[in-house]
Amino acid sequence: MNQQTTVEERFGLARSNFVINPVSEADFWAPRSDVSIELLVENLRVDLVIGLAPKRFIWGRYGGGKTHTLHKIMRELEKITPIHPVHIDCPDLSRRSTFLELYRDGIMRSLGEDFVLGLFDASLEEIGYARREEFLRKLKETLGDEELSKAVARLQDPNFDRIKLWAFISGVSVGKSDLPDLGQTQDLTSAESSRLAEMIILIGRLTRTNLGKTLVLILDEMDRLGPPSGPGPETIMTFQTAFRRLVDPNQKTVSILIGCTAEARADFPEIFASEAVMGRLGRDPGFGEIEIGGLVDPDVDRFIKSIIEHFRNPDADIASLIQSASSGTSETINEDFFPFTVEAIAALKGRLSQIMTPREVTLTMSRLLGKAYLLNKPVVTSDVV
Amino acid sequence: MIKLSEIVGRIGAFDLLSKIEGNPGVFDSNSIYDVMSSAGVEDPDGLYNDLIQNGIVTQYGRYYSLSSLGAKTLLLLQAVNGEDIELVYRRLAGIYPELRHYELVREGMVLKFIHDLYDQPNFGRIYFCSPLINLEKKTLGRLAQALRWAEERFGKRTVEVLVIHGAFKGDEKEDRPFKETLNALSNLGAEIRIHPKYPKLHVKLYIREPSFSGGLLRAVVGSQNLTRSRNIELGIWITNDSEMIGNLIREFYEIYNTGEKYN
Repeated sequence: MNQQTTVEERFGLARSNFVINPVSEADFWAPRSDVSIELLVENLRVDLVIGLAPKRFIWGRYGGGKTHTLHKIMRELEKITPIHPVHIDCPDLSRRSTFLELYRDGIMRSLGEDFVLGLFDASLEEIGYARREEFLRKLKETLGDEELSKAVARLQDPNFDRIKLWAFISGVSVGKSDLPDLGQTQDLTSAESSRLAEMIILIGRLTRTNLGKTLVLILDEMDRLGPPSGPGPETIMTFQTAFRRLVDPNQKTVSILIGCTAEARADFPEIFASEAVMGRLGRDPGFGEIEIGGLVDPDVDRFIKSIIEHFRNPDADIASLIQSASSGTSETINEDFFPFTVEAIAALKGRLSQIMTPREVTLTMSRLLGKAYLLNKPVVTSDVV
Repeated sequence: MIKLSEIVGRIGAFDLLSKIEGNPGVFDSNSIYDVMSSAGVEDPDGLYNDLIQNGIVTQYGRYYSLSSLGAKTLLLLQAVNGEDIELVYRRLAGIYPELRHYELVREGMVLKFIHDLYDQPNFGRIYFCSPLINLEKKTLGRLAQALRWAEERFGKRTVEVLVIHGAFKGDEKEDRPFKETLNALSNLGAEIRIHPKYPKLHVKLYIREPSFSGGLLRAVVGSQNLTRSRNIELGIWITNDSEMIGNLIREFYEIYNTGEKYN
């Protein structure tokens, strides 16, 4: 075999590995018996048709497909209704962290200055010019927050330094000399977490009214809210207060999709173990809490076939590659599993842990591919495994 | 805390300040006491300390001179002591440029007027008289902010904005930009009148009146419409000449009262 051919060319693939990007490849979905994407989508429709902003808590073991499921749900949601999705990975926290850190370093950073201030600009454009009292009254009506109105009103002044407002809104500390310019006596660093939650909800409302889209926050890796690195007992309540507000069924402007690594319910971070939060999410199967388990046996074969099909180069002459590979081995080669033999797949499954995860499967497949390539083989056989 | 008037009101203080002002770079720490003695100062150490500590007299190296506060104080004392008021005023205007009554202004006089409202938003009434009024978004934004600040100071009271615009051409497309600005001004609370077609309005006049808590009295009379201009323009910027500006306001109302209400 000519080692000058690439991995892709040798094995008829579009890429040199089987590692799925859960964000950019969210459209890909390998059927699995523990997660019915059709049911999840149907449940999204139910929520939307009754005017609720969908909230889901997706949990499972590491590599099980939570992020992929989150983004798949988001993609499906996008087909039903216009959305503005924002992916947030939980930032590094400490025992003293409060919800402010998640708000500032996670949520607001991911939403971005241009997007958020753009929403306020659009609202001001809608209100137009008016006498001070009327202007502030209309702005208060739009924002639902008198103090915030005074700050946002400054955006109409072309001389105003917009970064000041962004600093205020995003939860960064604002200098004492800048506060009067924003019509404020204090910044949000000392605000209650419920107020921060209301800011997020306001941004959701403005996204709906100004852009005609539903704001979808994908809060991933929320297991970081648990031990050992998560917030301590003194500050955990700030998260609970905020999440109670965010996942409340009456909160209809922001869709919240949460991803959390946990082997079992007992491993949930304290915030998500509390009835105050999970009770609001609801325990209807497929609605509030969605468990992503491991791949069970019939699923593994189906998964592997789907992965291979997804990564196969449509222009490759698979029949020829199979014919050529067959001459060098007595193992069974079929189109479903090529560039692996049937025996290699069986050996691969034997090598994996009892509860197999998509990540484990795709990584192992990728490494076996590499091994076979370096051994100059036209197909991955059981001895490579 | 001791008042400035109590310091400079002491016997000999005025003479001392006059001598220092008339002879800069002459008096050192010895000779200054001689001057105080000849001026009849009763407590030289006390006066010396008060003048230095309150920043009326400063020391440059060995010698003493008046600070700008000292110079202003002396001018006012001269006025109190009977000096020609006009002369004193002119000399004060040299220290306070904004006291200058008249100044020539060129292109950008309109923007300068609006920036002035923004930078010093202590006004109670504004007058705009212009055949054409078309403000850019940025300028409108500054004006809106200036009005908000002015109204904030007033509490419940409102700032008055009176506007006279020339007659429209009657062409929807041509008149649109002017009407857009007038609508924005109307939303900001302006009372707008449209001048009849004949005789044609040609006056360009912009005035600001102070609020009840103070502020500047200012007017611009010139060639520039309340629009962006690429022409060569010339105007007069008038500050605090209450007689002249009072006359201009009267002229404004004469024109205003012939106009038809807009909206």
